[in-house]
Amino acid sequence: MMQTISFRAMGCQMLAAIDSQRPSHLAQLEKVPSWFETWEQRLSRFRPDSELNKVNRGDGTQKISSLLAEVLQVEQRAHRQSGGLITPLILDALEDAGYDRNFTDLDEDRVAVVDYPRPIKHQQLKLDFHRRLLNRPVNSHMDVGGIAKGWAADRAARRLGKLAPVLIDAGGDVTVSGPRTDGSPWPVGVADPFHPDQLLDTLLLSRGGVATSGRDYRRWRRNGSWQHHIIDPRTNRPAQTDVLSATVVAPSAWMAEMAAKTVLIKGSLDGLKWLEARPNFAGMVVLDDGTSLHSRRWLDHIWR
Amino acid sequence: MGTTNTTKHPPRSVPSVKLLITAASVAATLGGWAAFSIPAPTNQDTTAQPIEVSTNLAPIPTILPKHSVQDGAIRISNQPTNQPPLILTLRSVNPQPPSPVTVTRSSR
Repeated sequence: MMQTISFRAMGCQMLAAIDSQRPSHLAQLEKVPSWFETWEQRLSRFRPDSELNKVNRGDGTQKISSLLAEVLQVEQRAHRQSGGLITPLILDALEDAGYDRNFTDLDEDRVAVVDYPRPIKHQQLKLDFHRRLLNRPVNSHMDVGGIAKGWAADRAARRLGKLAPVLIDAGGDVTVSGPRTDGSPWPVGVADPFHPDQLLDTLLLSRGGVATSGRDYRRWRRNGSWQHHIIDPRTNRPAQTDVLSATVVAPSAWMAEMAAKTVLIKGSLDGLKWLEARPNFAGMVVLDDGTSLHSRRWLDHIWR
Repeated sequence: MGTTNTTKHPPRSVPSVKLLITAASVAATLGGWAAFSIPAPTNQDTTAQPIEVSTNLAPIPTILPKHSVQDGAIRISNQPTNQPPLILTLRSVNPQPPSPVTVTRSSR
């Protein structure tokens, strides 16, 4: 018998599920929202007193917490694995595009403040993980939003999964600790971006994670043209792509988040080629015209 | 010592009729592919003329072993060589997908 808890954190809807009936396990499940609150307090760009914002306001080499160091280490790995398409130094580009406040507070129509996007200099971001020292490029600021949600899902699943099989859904970044108590996989639906109440497929997850990256929801108009929140660091602007949404199954939620974003930025052709070259990944994309395409290994993960 | 009497009955059918029945079964199994004709016996036909069965069967498709083709697909080999092979994708029919515990979508 499964027990679940739903809550809002990091600007998203969250769900934690544990496949156990034991009261002590339920007590631990009820602690999950407080874990996310602690992480959000450190990592949110929308909380003025978060550690991330303090670091963004600081200069030179700064001492950071082990938690922020861990998330930034994951960001560095995501940068390498994505071929440079994922970086935390996108905050300025996001704000230039008009995403300068919590999404729920965002007006649909924004007025441009900056006409020329500021360049992203990821190579100048230096992290000494063991000494917890960070040196950020001058005039470049960080947002760890997407990768941090995946990281948080993985961290919560690792912690709670010591008790019983668990599933954590951090705003669409989903991870499982292993098969359910009876050995069966966890069914996870893939929403249709055109009809969010309908499913395109049902995944059967026994391990790892899945994430969806899309420009179907977090979007707005700036000077009359549509903008979205997925920045292409090659142009410092919202990615120009034929992919409306990308869903990827990977060994963890943060890897799935990294891969889904990479596929979306690359576009359907290069994105699916990139997936095919990585045996641990499988994915599908939905294009603007409603066409859906998937990698070969996607069929290994879906109910059929 | 008793004796055993056996009575040999004349065969009730001739081999060609058995052949006819077998061919008809095959043709019926293949459904609409077979177009065959059997001359109806007539009372006037007292001579031992062989019964002639003529068939006009389409080529029987050969199903190759699954390991020789891509997963979930069967290749039919009697296609003309100058055309791409016909691939039929088979998906097992399950009644309903399991109810999902959660849904992945772009963050909201």
